[in-house]
Amino acid sequence: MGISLFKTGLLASALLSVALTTGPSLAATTVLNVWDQFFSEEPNKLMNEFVAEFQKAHPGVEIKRNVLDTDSIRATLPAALTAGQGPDLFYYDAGPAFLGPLVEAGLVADLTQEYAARGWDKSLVDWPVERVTYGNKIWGVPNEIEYTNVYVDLAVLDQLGMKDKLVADKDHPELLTLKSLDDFKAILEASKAKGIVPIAFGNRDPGRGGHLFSYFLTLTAGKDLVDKILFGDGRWDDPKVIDAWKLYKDYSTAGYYPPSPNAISYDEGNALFFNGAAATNITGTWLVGDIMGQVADPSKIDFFLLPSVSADLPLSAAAGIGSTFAVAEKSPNKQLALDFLDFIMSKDAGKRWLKEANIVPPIKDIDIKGLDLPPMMQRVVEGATLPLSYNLDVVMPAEWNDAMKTGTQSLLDGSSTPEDVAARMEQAWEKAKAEGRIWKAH
Amino acid sequence: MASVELQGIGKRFGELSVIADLDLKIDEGEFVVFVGPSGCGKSTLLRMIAGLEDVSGGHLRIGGREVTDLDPAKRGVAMVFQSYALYPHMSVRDNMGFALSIDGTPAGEREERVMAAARILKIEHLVDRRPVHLSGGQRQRVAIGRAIVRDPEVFLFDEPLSNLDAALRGEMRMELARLHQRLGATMIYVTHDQVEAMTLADRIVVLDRGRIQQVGHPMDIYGRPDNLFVATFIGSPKMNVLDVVAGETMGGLLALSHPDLPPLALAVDGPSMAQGSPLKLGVRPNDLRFDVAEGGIVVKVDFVERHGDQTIVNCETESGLTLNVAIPGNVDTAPGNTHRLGLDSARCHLFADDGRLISRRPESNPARSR
Amino acid sequence: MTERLDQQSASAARRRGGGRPLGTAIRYLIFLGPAALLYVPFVLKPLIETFGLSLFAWNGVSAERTFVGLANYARALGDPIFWISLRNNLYWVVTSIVLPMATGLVIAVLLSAVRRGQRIYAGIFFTPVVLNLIIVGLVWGIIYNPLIGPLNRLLRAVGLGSLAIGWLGDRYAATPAIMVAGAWTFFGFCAVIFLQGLRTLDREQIEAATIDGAGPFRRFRKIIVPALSDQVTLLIVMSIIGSFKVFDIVYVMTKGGPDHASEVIATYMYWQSFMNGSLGYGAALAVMLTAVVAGASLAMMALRERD
Ligand SMILES: Nc1ncnc2c1ncn2[C@@H]1O[C@H](COP(=O)(O)OP(=O)(O)OP(=O)(O)O)[C@@H](O)[C@H]1O
Ligand SMILES: [Mg+2]
Repeated sequence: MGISLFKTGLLASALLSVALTTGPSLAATTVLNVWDQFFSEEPNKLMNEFVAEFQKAHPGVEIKRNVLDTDSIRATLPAALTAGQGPDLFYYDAGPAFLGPLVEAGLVADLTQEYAARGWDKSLVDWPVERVTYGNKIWGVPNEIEYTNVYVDLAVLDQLGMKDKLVADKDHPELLTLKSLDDFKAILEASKAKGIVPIAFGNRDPGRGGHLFSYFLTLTAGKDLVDKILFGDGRWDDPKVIDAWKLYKDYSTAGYYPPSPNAISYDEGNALFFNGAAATNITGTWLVGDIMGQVADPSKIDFFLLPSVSADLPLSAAAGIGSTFAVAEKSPNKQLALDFLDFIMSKDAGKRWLKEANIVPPIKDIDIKGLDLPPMMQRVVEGATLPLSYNLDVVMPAEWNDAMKTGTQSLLDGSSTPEDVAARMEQAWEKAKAEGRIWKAH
Repeated sequence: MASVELQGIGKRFGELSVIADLDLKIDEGEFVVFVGPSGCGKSTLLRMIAGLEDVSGGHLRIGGREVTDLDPAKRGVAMVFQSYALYPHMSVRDNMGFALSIDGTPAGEREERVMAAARILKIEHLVDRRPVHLSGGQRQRVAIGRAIVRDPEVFLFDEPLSNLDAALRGEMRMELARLHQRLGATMIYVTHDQVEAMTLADRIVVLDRGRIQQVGHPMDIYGRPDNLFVATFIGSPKMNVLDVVAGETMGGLLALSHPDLPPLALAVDGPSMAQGSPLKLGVRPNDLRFDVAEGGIVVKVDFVERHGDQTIVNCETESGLTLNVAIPGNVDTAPGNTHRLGLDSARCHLFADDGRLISRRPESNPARSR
Repeated sequence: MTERLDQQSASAARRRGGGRPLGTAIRYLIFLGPAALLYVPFVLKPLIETFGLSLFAWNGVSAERTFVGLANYARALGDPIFWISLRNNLYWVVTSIVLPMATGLVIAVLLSAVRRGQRIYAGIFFTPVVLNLIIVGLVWGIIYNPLIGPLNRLLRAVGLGSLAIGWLGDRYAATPAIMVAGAWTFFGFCAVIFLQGLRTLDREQIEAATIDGAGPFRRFRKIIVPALSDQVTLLIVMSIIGSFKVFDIVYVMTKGGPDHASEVIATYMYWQSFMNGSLGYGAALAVMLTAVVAGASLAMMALRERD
C-alpha cells in the first residue's frame, strides 16, 4: 500500500517534469534524424541554416543532425540501419561498396517514383543521378558534383616564366588547360629545377593516389574505355590502364612528387601548396573551400584541367558525387525526409550551396550571374558541364579499391610495377563481379 | 679486529653542518656506543665510518689505514641496519652469503661460513626461508648473521634492536654482548636506549648537535657527567636540576641557596664563584633520601610509580619545583602525602648556568674495573 | 612459535578446502556472483555472438548470411595480410616490453634519487600517457614528417641524411616508428609504476648491498630489479595484452598503411569488418585475437603462480 502510493507519486512527478520540460508543443513534435558528413565549417553552417528554415516552415518538426566523418559513418551506419535505429535521412558514400549493400539489404527507400513526382528527373543533372541508380531504380539524391583538377600557384608559375603555358580551352573559353601534357612536364621540370615541389602530393591516405590514378586514366583512356570495363567486357589490365599507372609512376621517378609521398598526409601535402612551397596540386574541386579559407592570398591560386594524352579525347576529368542523400526504408517519416531534400535541392538552395559552401549541386540551369562567385568557383561550375569521367573509388567494390589504393603506395616505393597493380585490380574486379558485388546501374 | 680513528671529521649537508671537527679514537676490540638525542648525528657518524656518507672534512682510519675515500666494501666493515635491510627475494642463506658470492668465495667455503654464522645465532633451521617468513627477532638474527659471515674488522650497528619488543630486545642485547666477547671484534653501536648503552658499552660516546659531549666508561658517564647535558641525558629517571644562587666561598666550600632548600654548601676547587651568580644543582632521584625525620626539603606527593624493584615518587615543593625520588623496593605513600627529602651535598653535581661542570659528586663508582 | 602458527593455518585451510566442497562452491558463488553478473552480458554473450558471426560470410547489412563453417578461419591462414598483422602484433609485444619498460625503469631509478620536484618530473613524464591519441598522432606525425619533421632535420644536421626517410610511409619503418610513439605513450606509466615500487624499496637494502660489495650494476640487477618483480609482472601483462589489442595509435598514424605494412590484427579486423564489407571475416579475426590475448594472460598468470 505504502509502496504503491509512493510509486504513483513518482510516476506523477515524472510525468509532470516531462510536461514542464517539453512545454506546450509536446503533442505534435515529429523528429527527423539526419546523419550527414558536412563537418567542414561552411557546409555545416549552411546545413544548420537549412534545418532552421525548414523547421520554421514546418511547425512541429524537429530535425536532429548527427555530423560524422566518413570513416565513422561507414563504421556505424549499416549496423544502425539494420537494427532499425538509424536515421531517417542519411548522407553516405554512393557506390557498390557502400550504398549498394544497403540497397540490396532493403534498407534504402526506392526514390524512382519520387523523381517523377517531385520533378527531380528534370531538375537534376543526369550523370550524378546515374551514380545512385542500381538496377534501373534510383536510390538517392546526389548533392555535390566533384571532379579532379590541377591547382596552380600563379605566383610560382610567373616566377618560373611559365604563365603563358596556361591557355583557354577552345570549346570552353572560361576553362584553363595546357596545350599538351608535355607543357605540364615543362612546368614540373622548371619548378623542380628551382627547388620548388612540382606537385604537392601526400599519399599517406592512399585515396589521394587513387584520385591521381582516376584522373590519369581519364587522360590515357577516356570515359568510353572505363564504361566498357565497368559495364562491358573491358579489362583492368588493359594497356591504357597500365599507361595511366605508368604516368603516375613516371612522375614519381622524375621527382615531381615531394620526397616520400607515402609518408605525407593529405593535409600536409595541401599545406605545401597553400604555403607556396609547391607549384601545383592535383586533387579535386572539393578543395576550393579550403583554398579560399586557408591560403593567405587566394587570388594567386587558380586551376586548370590537364589535356588528354591523345587529341581525339575531349577535355575531361574524373568526376563523382562523393556521397548521396538517401532515405531509410524503415523510416516512418519518408515524406518528411523527401520534403527536406526537396527544400535543399531547389534552385534557390542550389545557389546557396554554391555561394556559401563552395559546393556544386547537381541542379540544372542555376543562374550564377547574380551570385558574384569568385572566378575560381565560376570555373568549377563551368567544368561541371564537361563530359566527365569517373572518380573510381566511389563506384568500385572494396577489394578493387584495396588493390588500387595499395597500388598507389607500392608503385611509389618500387615494390610493384604498373603491370602488377593492373593485374591485381583485374583479379579483384573479376572476383567481385563473380560474387555480384559490382555496380549495375541498368 | 681493528682500531677506528676519526680525526677532525666534519659533515655538511649543503649549508647545514651536522658534525664539525670531531675527534675520536676507538681501540681494537672495543665496544663503543653512540648515544644522543634524535638528530644529533649518530647515524651520520656511523654511516661515514661505513662509507655510505661522504666525509666533508677530516680523516678516517681503520686499523691504521686511511679509508676516508675508500669504497664501503673495501673498509672491512659490516653494518646492521635498523630495518634489517634483508634482501626480500633471497633466502636467508643467500642473504647471509651475498657478500661472499660477490667477492668470489667458492661455494663450499661460503656455505661453511654461512652455516657457522647461522649456528652461532641459532638460525640453522631457517636458512632456506625468505625474510617474509621470519619473525622480527629472526630477521634481526639474520641481519647480524649477514654481518658475521663477512668476518669484518669492525661491526657497525644502527639501532638494531629498536624494532623489537622489550622482551626480545633484552634477549638480543645479551646475545650481542656474548657475540662481542666471542668474536672480540671492534663494534660501534648507535642507540637511543640507555640500557643498551650502559650494558653493552666499553665506552659511551654522548653526542649532542654533532659534538661529543663526553666519552667514557658507562659508570663514569653516569656517575661523573662532564656537563649538564650528559648529566640529564644519561640516567633514568632523569637527574633533578635545581636553580640555585651562589653564596660565599669559605674553606673550599661554596654556599648555595634555594628558597625550598635548607642551607647547603658544596666542596669546590678552582676559581671562586661570584656571589649571586645563578647555578644549576643536579641530584639524581636515587641520591635523594626519602622521608628523613627532620630538616630536608618539604614536598607533597604528586603521583607514585611503582616499578616493583623500585618506586618513583614525583613530588612538588612549596614553590612549585618538581622533584623525582627513586626509592628501592616499595614505599608506603600516596598522592597528597607530605614528606621530607634528604639532600646529601656529597651526592650533588654543580653546574654553571651554561651547563659547564663546577663540582661533581666526589667519589666515582669504586667497583669500576677495566 | 610462528612456525606453529603457520602449520595451524595451513591445516585449517586444508580442512576448509577438502572437507566442505559445497560450502566452498557457495562461497565462490557469493564472491564471483556480482562479477559474473556483469561478465555474462558484457563479455560472454558478445563473444559467443562474435564467434557465431565468424561462421558466416556476411557484409554486415545483407538480410542473408551464408554459413561457411570455419572458412573464415581458413581464409585468415591463407591471407598474407593476416600474417603481416600478426607478426606486427608480435613485434609490438617485444618492443612494448623492452622499450617503454626499460626507459621507464631507468627514469624511475633516476627520479627516485631526485629529492626535490620528483612529483613534477614524474608528472611531466606521465603526460603522454593521458594525452588524447589524436594529439599523439599529430605530434608524432609532425616529428616523422619527411619535409618539416624535426627528426629528419636532426638526422641531416648530424650527417645522417641517408637515414632521413619518410618514416610513416615506409613499409619497413612504419611499424617501428609507430611503436616508438606507442612506447612514448607508455613509458611514463611504467616509470610511475616503477617509482611507486622503488618507494617501497628500503634504501637501506641498497646500502647493505653496497657494503656487501655490490657495484651499481649488480645492485640494479640483484636488488632493485627483483624488488620490482610485481611491477614488472603487471607491466608485462599490460604490455602483452595492450600489444595484441593495439588499435588507435596505428589507426591514427597510418591506418595500417602503407600497403597494409603496419597493419595489426585490430586495425585489419576493423578494416575488413567496416571498410571492406567482410564482417564475418572480421569476426573470425576478432575471435582469434581474443583467443591469443586470453592465452597470453593465462600463460602469464600460470607463470606467476608457479613462482
Ligand atoms: N641526507 C641528508 N640530507 C640533509 N640532512 C640530513 C641528511 N641525513 C641526515 N640529515 C640531518 O643530519 C642530522 C643528523 O641526522 P642523523 O640521522 O645522523 O641523526 P641521528 O642522531 O641518527 O637521529 P635518530 O636518533 O633520529 O636516528 C639531522 O638534523 C638530519 O636532519
Ligand atoms: Mg639515526
